[in-house]
Amino acid sequence: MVKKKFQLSSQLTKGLEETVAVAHTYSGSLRIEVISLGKIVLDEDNPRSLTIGLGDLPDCPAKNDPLYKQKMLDYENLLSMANSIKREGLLNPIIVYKAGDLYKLVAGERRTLASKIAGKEDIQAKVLEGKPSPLKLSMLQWYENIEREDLTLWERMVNLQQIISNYEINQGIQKISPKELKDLIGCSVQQATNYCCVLESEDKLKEAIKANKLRNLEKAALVARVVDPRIKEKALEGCINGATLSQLKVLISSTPKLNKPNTEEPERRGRQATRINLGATKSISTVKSLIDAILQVDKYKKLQNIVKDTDWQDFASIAKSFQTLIQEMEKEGVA
Amino acid sequence: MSKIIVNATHKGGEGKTTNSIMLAEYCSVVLKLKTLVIDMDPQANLSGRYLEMEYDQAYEGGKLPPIHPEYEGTEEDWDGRSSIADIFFGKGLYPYPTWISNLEILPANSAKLQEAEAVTKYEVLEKVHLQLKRFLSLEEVKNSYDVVILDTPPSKGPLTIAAIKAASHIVIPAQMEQFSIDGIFGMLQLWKQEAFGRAKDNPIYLVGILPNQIRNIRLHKDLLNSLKETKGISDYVMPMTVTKRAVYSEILALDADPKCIFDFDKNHIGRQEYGKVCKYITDKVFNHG
Repeated sequence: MVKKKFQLSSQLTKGLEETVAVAHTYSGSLRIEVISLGKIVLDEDNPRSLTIGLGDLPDCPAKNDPLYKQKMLDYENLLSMANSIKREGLLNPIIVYKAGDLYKLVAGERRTLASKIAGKEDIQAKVLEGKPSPLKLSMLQWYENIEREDLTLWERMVNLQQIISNYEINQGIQKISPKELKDLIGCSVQQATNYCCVLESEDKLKEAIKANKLRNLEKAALVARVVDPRIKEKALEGCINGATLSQLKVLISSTPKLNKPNTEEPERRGRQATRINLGATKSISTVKSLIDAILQVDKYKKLQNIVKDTDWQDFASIAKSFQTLIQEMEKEGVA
Repeated sequence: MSKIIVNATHKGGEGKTTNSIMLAEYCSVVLKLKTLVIDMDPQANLSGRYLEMEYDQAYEGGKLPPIHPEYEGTEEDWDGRSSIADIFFGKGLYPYPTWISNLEILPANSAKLQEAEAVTKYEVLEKVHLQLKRFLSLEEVKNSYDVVILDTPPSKGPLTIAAIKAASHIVIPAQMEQFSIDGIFGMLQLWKQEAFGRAKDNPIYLVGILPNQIRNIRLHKDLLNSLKETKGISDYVMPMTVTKRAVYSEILALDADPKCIFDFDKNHIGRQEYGKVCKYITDKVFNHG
């Protein structure tokens, strides 16, 4: 009798193999530490939109502060996050990098401030090994912020402008293409094209975006693409007044263009025309007058018979007679 | 910086405590290193080897460390007892001397460790997880010891996680039996999770899986071979095994003589066998820079 051989189940073996392989691949890549809030400083290279700072917290901003109003608004906006941190703790760690004894903030300004309001003394942070390159920094901020619901179009544009500038410097190129932008931030080509379009638009459109009067990228891109300044202004106005995308498209296509004196030869497109299309009409009397006029001409008088049996109530009959008349006239012309 | 070795597996009876004792005594007696052994297991078995533990009236089956020999009765914030559990309750620690001159111990306090182990509230849990690491990172602790050995409870709870978070090296003792190997899988998962989050200059090394309590039976041989043939794992199965021997239990008895395996004759089979294991582990630990 053959003795029984014992071995591990294939499932356990697979589990063991995978665990070790994953541990090797990702070692050190998800390092999260708990650091003191007092050791966090904002990165001066990292533009911020909030006026409130760690120094103003955890209490409400001082009333004699010249920026009191704005700071109070920031403070109130942070309260609900502070509340959730108090109750559930911080769900996603912030990102910092070590700078001497301190940690410079890469992403998570709101979470840091809200933790301070929540009365915390420390915070969970993913600590990067060193200062990230400007491109990496702007990319990290993009990834961190893009899912934020209250992120304005303007904030996105500012962040993107940084990414693009850093990328152009890195690659030594003049201008990023929508395809490159798509690969860089992982959006669709259409979106990348829209972003490029809006970033290159003139100040009036950007001002409206900055003032948060225009929040939709597609609409902004539609306005940015309009060449005619008068239509553009109208479209922007429509946008601000809440026009939908389709309303905006109609508005742009239906506004008559400016009557600019046309000094240039119109460009000819497509194949060379080899025949004349006489067009179509619903007006029977127009066709009848035309035929009558032709038959007045001496050399065509003999073609009277062609139209003799035409049923003048029937479009098909009239068209047939007219076509035959034209054909006979052509023959007459050649002769 | 001191090396911190944790013996961990969440299955009981695999030889964590025995291996902690052997390693602590090898480091202090044979290698003459300044050694601290920490008992994180509420069962307090390891503590009982070096200290005369007292039975806690307030907690069934629980044990208390004895009054510290240096306690004078005049200290304000100290009741004279010190256990590793005190780090979770914001108290200072006073390691106890042992009958081995280079070896000190921070014993368990059953009730307090149970309390820390039972923590589930997220915020407190976070503190428990990191508290041991914070303590062992203190300059005075790092300067006092060359090596720290951590013994853990048979669970994957907060105390085991705290020990793994504090460790620089992990050893997984395991019998070559089905449930034990399932236990290895669980521990590798913890190691993996911890490795993800470590800084490049502070990694956690898996020293290896120690095939323990091996008997001359087909099951043990086959499963060991099966484990060695598993891709990726083979590098982590220690090349030597620990045989199931009476001497490893006998030295733990209160009136054993000698008490330490490394005080046996140099040719003693038990001393030789465990000596090889401890040499393998400490070579790996101290050669990792």
